[in-house]
Amino acid sequence: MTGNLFRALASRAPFWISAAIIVAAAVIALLAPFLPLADPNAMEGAPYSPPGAEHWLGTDNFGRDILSRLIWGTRLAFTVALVSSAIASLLGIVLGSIAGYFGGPVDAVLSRAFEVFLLIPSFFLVLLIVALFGSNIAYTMVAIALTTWPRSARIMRAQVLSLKQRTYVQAARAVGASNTHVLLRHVVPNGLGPIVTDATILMGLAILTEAGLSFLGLGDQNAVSWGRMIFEGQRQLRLAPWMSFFPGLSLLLLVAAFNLLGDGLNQALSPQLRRLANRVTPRKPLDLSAAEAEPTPAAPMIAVRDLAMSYAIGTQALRAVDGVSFSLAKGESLGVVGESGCGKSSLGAAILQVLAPNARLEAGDVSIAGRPVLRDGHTVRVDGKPVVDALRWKDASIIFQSAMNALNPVMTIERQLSEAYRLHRPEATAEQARARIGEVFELIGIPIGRLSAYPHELSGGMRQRVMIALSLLHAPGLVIADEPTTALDVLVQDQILGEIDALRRRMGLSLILISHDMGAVAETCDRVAVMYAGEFVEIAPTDVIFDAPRHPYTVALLSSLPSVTGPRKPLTSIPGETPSLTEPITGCRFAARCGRSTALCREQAPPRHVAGAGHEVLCHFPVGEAAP
Amino acid sequence: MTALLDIADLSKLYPLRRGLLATLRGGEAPMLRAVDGVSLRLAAGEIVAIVGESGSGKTTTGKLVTLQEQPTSGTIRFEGRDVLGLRGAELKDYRRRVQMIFQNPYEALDPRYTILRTIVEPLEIHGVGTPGERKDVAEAMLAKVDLRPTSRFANRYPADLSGGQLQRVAIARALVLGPKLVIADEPVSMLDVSVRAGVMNLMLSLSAELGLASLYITHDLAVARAMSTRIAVMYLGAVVEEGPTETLVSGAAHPYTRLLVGAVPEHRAGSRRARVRLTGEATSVSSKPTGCRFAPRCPRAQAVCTTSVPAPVRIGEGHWSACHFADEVAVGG
Repeated sequence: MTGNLFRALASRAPFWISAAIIVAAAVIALLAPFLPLADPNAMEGAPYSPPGAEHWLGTDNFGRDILSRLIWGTRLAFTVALVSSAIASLLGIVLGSIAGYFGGPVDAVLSRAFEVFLLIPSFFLVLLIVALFGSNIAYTMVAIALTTWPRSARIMRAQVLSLKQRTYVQAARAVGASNTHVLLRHVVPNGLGPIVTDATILMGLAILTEAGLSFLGLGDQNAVSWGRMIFEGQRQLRLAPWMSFFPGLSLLLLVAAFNLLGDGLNQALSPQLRRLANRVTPRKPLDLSAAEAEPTPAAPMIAVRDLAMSYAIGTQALRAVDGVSFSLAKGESLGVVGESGCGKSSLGAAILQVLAPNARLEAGDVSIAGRPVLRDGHTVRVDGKPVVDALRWKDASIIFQSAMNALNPVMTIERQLSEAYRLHRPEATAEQARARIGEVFELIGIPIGRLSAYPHELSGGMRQRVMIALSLLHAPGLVIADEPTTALDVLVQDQILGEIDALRRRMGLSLILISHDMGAVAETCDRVAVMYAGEFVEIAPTDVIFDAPRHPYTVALLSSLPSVTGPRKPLTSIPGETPSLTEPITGCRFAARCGRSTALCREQAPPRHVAGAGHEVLCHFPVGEAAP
Repeated sequence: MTALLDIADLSKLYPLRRGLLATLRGGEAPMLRAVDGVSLRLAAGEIVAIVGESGSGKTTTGKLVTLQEQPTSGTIRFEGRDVLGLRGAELKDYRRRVQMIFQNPYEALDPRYTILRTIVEPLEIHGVGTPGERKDVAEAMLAKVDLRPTSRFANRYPADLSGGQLQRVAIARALVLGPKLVIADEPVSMLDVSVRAGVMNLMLSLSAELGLASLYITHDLAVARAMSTRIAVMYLGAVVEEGPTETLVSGAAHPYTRLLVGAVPEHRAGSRRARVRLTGEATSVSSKPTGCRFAPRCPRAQAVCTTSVPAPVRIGEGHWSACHFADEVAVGG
């Protein structure tokens, strides 16, 4: 984990520059008593000496050495930063955890307390303390802590609220652990990350507040503080600008450094922000003339050859799709099955070039309805516009797994569908759009009355039907359905699969059904491709895949599945794990888990073996032939 | 014979939010009837599966048995003793003997704990043995769940392990205290198909070896069939049918179970069957139902189904169904 954090930070120059500034300042502050410095309070030099050989940064109105005062001021700045942020964080952790963990009335009381403290301005509190007890740096630090701790407390409370729902916290309770044990061992340690990050920002804030207080004359009169130096300097701004310039610059640098450090940590720890950092530049598009991109007559609905796509993960490239080829005739359906991480969803996204920011098409040709959309891994463009953009939705559409995320929650179903329709047919009127939506709804069995509903008002199955309706609006020739029923209950899944199947037959659709569920594919598809580690290891007509599979992985997968109506048989498991796709793989990708593998399998990539009509196997020793 | 676990008429109701106006108008507050009068018995060493869709109350039932939630009414008896009144040391002892395995292995282990420490922790909490002995027991447990060589796994963190390996660790932790009963809530549903069978086989062999009873909660009838000797089918908070696994799968006596059996896609060529056209989806119940819960979606519902709550009908040995037409359904209607 520390390694990951380090890697995430490695490429951030501002983080390392600010860390260097802070470390350097801290070393100087620590060494202050041992450095050959003038006494910061000794009035030995000539007043108002400009920076020079004797006093490097000059002297002030009392003839005190500015460099020495600056360095002693650094010491004070660090003391204030560490002590007040430590007090604030500690208070915040303790009270925030208690509020979040116990909830109810405890939380209600403590949360109000956080709010009340947040409302007290620190200047006002210090004024009060100074008036009551006199000015002293310790009081200043306590005052700063007292006005900043609710910030940590609120962060901690939010952390604990989410952590206590985590399964491992519930697991610890179920095992019989006490509240104290759960809180101290599992909840608090896992919630500290953001507090630590925020503490660095608190440190900057504390330094700034102390400087501000000293500037106003509310700080410790005996302490050497940057704020006090600026205050004394500002009256001599014309006569001796160095008096306020150097402390001002130091203050700016150190506070900025603390803030940048906090920001850097925050970004490194936040997965969303980290992912953005992995954005890749796509390969250069390939511009063709309209004539060159004319559809080939009698071409299959879709043809894919040697398609490859990778994701940037940190500094590594993960080859999610690695040399996939197939073609699909009009009205034909292909099931793509495989386990999570095998690249099946990436394949669907790669075909229609709906790519994540860190995804990149690496190689291959794709043509849809005879029109080239990808050539040698380059997006094909005509008149500067990608061909695939014109085809997407109109000729080829995709249904995603999560219907809720794909629908806009604040727009009615009708408006979303109508907009989607008119996007590709700008000439269509609202009435025409409505008529078409009505047709599609009837086809799929959505009551027309649901048109005015918002997505959250629909059940999961209904939402998924709306997604299917959306994909069929323009009567495309090809539909790619990526786990269209995975999030649904089994009865609803059964209906929707049945509806997709019926539609396909009625409308002559070509369908690519991507699923982890062998059963769903068996019932809906003419052909099945089994995907493993980015490759199609076997592709065959559906009955052949299930009755006479030839790839050892397909065979193993089928015998690991329990059945409801088939004979009850012992389940066999596949040993080992899928290989990492960020490392180069020599030989067969399944070799390490395969009972039939030999030295040859581990050294040489297997050939594509034609086992029958439309049946290909990527294996040195397909099942059913003499074992090696 | 006293059952190991005896749940009787167990209910859990959650208050539903309602608008200010409705609150002012008063009247009975609407309640979500998550679990509504469930009774179930488990003998020592027996594996019973609870099968149901989302919202059926199967997970809540598990949480009630492990006392993560307090029931609204009903009783839970473990080895003949009422569990709900347990406090202090007795409660801790119950938690020791009834363990839980969770659905999401990626979430079930503290990311800051090494694998060994994860398994040692329950022993620590219950003060079993000396630190050295705990370590030995934990290592032996790792070997038992086939994470071998144990030295390769002991000092690693959950982030370094795959889903299947993590679930094995979770099983090791659940079994290290030597429980009598394990509640397993969808323990393989998040695992990949190729490692799923391994974890299922492991659970079966350990149950047999240690004489463990299990309540196996799942939405997947095929998995339930592979894992259990008896199945209880839940729909919207209630058990609608219960019976020996093979009897229930091949001769279901409740229309809902019939549909469920038919809806599981079979991984065989040409397996598409004629589908029963089913309308609607399960909607949660907020008031005491006056008829059969499944009636609104049931293809064979009659007038009586909406006016009278069906009583359990005995079909055969240990097999009953809460349907007005259970006998007809059982013979294949």
